[in-house]
Amino acid sequence: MMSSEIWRNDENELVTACKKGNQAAFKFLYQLNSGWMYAICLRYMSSKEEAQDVLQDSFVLIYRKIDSFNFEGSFKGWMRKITVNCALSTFRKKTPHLISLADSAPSNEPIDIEFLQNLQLEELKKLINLLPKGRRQVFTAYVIDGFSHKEIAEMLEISEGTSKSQLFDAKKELKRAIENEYMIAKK
Amino acid sequence: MENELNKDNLKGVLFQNFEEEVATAPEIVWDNIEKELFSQKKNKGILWFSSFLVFCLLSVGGFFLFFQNPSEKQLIDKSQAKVVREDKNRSNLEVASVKNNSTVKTSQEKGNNEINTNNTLIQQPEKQFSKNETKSNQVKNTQLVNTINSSENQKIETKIVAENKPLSSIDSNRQESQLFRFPYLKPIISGSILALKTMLDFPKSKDCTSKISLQLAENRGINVRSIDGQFDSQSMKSKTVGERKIPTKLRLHQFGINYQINEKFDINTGFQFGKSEFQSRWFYRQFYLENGETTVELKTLNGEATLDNEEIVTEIATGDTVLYKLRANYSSSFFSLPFGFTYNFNQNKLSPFIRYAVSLDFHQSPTISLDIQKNGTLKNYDLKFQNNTIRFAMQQIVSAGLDYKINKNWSAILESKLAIPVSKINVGTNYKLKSSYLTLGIGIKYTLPCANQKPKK
Repeated sequence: MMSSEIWRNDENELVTACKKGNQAAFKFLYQLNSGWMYAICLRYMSSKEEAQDVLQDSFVLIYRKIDSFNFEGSFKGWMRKITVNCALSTFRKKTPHLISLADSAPSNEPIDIEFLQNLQLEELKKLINLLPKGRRQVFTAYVIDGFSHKEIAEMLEISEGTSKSQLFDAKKELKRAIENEYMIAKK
Repeated sequence: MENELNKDNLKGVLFQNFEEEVATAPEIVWDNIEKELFSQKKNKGILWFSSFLVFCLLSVGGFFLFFQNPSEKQLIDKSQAKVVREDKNRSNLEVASVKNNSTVKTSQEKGNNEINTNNTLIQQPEKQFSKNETKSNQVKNTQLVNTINSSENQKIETKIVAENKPLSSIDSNRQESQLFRFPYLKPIISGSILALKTMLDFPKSKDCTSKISLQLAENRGINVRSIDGQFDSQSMKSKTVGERKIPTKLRLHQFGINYQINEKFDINTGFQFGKSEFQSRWFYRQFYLENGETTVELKTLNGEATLDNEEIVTEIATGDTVLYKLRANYSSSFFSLPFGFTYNFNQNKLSPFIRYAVSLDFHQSPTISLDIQKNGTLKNYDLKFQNNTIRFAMQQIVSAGLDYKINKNWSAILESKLAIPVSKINVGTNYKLKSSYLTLGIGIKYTLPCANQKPKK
């Protein structure tokens, strides 16, 4: 059996080969995963060029840190975390003021989203992209990629409170945007 | 129904939409990743190999440049001299010296002089000559007779019969042969190749492409200076006065830059400067000068120095006054540029290491003054060096130490160094010094944050 077949069927073999510095294995890893990782990068960054840079950084980091992956948990989850971390770090370095200035008290006010289920992916993305940059990062990381406020706070180097307040503001704005869209559609 | 926009129910709504989302990344991304991760190893190898090759060539070239004059022994060997020694009484001193194509006759006779040994100035090696008598000096161009008589009825007679060869031809023979006599050449080249191969073959760290650290250290130790070649410290002739070898205290300040190639090897360079001051004291019954000489010439551990004070020279030349005490105050400093590599045994919190470097040393102009005491009065005279320019020498530095990591960036260093001379310091005509040192130092090392260069499209 060809190596690529083995790697395709057995993720652990692929990771082990990458750990040994196998260049072909790493290229295969890239081919397998660059698609969904690039999609994540596009979600977080405002341009394709920035997203490509983040994707590049993420794979370089994965190559260098792969020794620290000890097969506990999902490898894909591990890569996802690195990618999001890279994206948020890049975002933080480029626009540090966007989040730190927007610190406000978090709120637990519930927000109605019953119509979200009916939205198509492209519509949803369009709405999310309308959010201000800082709030979009927090919202995407928390809601879509499933990170906790603590993790987001660490990645963006902000407080948990700031992360919560950013999420609250994002939800509020998203709700308003969706309601507007919904009302227009109803009319 | 009211849904809360919380993490759990949103995963049901949004996550399923985004989970399978893919986008095609342009090929340039992989090209850049490949360039960043896999091409740098090759480039680095070429870079280091070139640097190392240049360094080896410079080292060998530098050695030949600064290592030209042979010791007197080699000179005599080349001129096919025959040396005959015989022990005889040591009550008389007869010295005849060779001068190229000339005949000189000098004769001085001194009476018995008592030495005041209670003088507090005498602390260092004292050479006492209770009864010295210089009878006559007769020189022929081809023969040197040196007879030293001892008080123990033992007489050393040295006869050196040399062929009448011009010095220039001896020099040229000697310089030619030096090229093939370099004893360190093979070990240095083979050692360099082995070290280079080991460095390049060793797996590279994946954590960081480059790790540069800066090091500051303060060292204390001893600097041993010695006069190379034959040296008769028992002679009263001014040109051979003083000690052959002396250890002095050394202060060495060090600044280093380390480049981490991989987990085990670093390349090091930087600079260090040291200073040593010392006082050497001798006790002499008398000097004598050869006819026509207008200066006192001293072979010192800083170089060939002269004293041209007319009063002193006249007194010595006429024998009216004898010198009782000499006290030489030396001060010398050097600046060196080392280049070498470090082997780290591990990457633990406490990591031992060994280091090898070759350094090019610039010995700055030294100073020396001479305190001469006669009739109970001490007078200080500045000496002039015949070759008082910046002098060069090469040294090999072998060191071992401990690296204690305080945190991610800071380490404390404890290091012991031994410097062995590769070349000698050229300080005068046919006269060289060897300088080596042993130090113990403490310092700090700061590792700069890892900087990865990312190729961009």
